[in-house]
Amino acid sequence: MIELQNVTKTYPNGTKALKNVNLHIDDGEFVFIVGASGAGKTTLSRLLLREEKPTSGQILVNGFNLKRMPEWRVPKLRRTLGVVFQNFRLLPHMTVYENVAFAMRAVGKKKKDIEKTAKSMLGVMHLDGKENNFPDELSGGEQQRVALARALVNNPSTIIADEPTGNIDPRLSRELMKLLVDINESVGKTVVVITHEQELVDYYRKRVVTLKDGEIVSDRTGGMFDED
Amino acid sequence: MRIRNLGYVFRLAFQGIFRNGFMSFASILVLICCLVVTGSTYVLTENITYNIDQLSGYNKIVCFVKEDAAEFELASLQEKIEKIGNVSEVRLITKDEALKSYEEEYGDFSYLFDMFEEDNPLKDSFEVTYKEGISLKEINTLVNSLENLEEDGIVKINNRQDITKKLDDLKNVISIVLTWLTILLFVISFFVVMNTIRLSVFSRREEIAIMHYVGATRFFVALPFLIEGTVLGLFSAAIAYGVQYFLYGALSAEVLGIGENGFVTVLPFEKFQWILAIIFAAVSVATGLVAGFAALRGDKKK
Ligand SMILES: Nc1ncnc2c1ncn2[C@@H]1O[C@H](COP(=O)(O)OP(=O)(O)OP(=O)(O)O)[C@@H](O)[C@H]1O
Ligand SMILES: [Mg+2]
Repeated sequence: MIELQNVTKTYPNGTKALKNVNLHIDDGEFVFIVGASGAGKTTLSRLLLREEKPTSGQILVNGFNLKRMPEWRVPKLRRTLGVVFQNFRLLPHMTVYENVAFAMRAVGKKKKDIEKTAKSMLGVMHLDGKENNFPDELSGGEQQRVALARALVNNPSTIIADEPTGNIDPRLSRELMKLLVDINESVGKTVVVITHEQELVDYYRKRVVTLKDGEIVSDRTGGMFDED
Repeated sequence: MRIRNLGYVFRLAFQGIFRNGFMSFASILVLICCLVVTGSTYVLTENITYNIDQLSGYNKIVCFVKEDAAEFELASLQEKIEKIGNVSEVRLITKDEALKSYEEEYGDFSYLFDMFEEDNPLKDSFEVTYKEGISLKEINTLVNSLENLEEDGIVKINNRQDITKKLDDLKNVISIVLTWLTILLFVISFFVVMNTIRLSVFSRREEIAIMHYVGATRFFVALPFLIEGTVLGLFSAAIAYGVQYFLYGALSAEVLGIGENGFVTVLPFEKFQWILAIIFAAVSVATGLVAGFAALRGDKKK
């Protein structure tokens, strides 16, 4: 569960990126966060990951109070969150398998579990046979799926994707979105997708939260551009 | 906390060392210098202290007499010296006896002294033994009294207290100079090692970022770098120990060569081996670890 109460974020240089934001996302929900460039979408995701602390207000994420939480507990919070980045951020000198296994090693999983889970996760993402390829030997869609496999491999309850469809062609962004919706519907993970792509948002008819100049200006289910 | 994948963590540490081979090499080199200077400071002061202690326990003063002293002059001189306070024994060593003792000492090379048989260049001397445990001040008074016997024929006084004083001064100079040099080298080592590890951190910054995102603990992220620092330190310590060992061997042979026959004592290296090993290991590991922490700290602020 994600809960923001009167959250304001002012960067040290004085930029007010978020103003008095209130938002509640239940476990198992699928939510799009949309808004113009500079509206504060990335700032919101960074607050949820506790890369930044709110200037004021309360944030609860999966049972963690982000305002009061000590630094050493941050890793525990992060283990409940799977992140998909805009340009995927796959490690170029590691194979597909190593990229996924790396995420498990980082949190101290057992060697046996790593082998089993990483392999099966690659299977789920239809990446069998690509285990030993390097990221630059993959298509855009395959890279996407490796990134998603890495985000999911530690079994987080929530997926946060900031512009995961950023630089790829529309067909691929539909594919990725389908995977995210699948993950949400089949295993009930909470999914928060930050995106610009109006078509996709309209197509899935999910909950859409619109930010404008750091404020939530609309929060409803259905297409972003539906007429009232 | 239980650490899994320790093998993996060590592999990362060694990767870091080899990836920045040149900087690792520089780190090891500067750490070795630092350790050898530290070790040398220690063994030198220990040796000097030991020799000072030895000399302070040597309660004899040797007075040389003018060349043409007649027997009655020597006898009256001896009488006068015996009357000086704190003197417990006065022994006349004639120049012939002195020459003989030299010849004995040089054994096979005693023929070197044959030419002196005719015309002995040595002087008669008195070996003055004073009471044990008297103060430096009392010794000085005694020496002064002996100096006052110049008119009676005393030309030179060999007092080992003088040497003790000189050695003590030397020890002070050495410990001050070398201590500062050690501190300076430590500062340099620290920065070189820190920058080496910082390079490793830099070349793995993307991995580190991902690790933080997936929820790796700070400690687990830091571990390979701390191990890298420790390994650099221990490796340097091992080499420095070897260097110190050979240096000590070579130098003590040199010192014993120039030393006046048993006058200087060089302590055996075995006397220091454990303490040096411990100092080297502790100091180098501490430097590596602290530098590792500092390197990661710099990274965090970015
Ligand atoms: N680290 C920062 N320091 C200062 N100001 C920042 C920082 N990050 C973002 N901002 C500012 O905060 C505002 C919101 O930025 P944010 O990145 O959240 O927008 P966004 O909605 O993600 O935009 P985009 O769609 O372009 O990614 C912007 O005005 C931006 O310039
Ligand atoms: Mg953004």
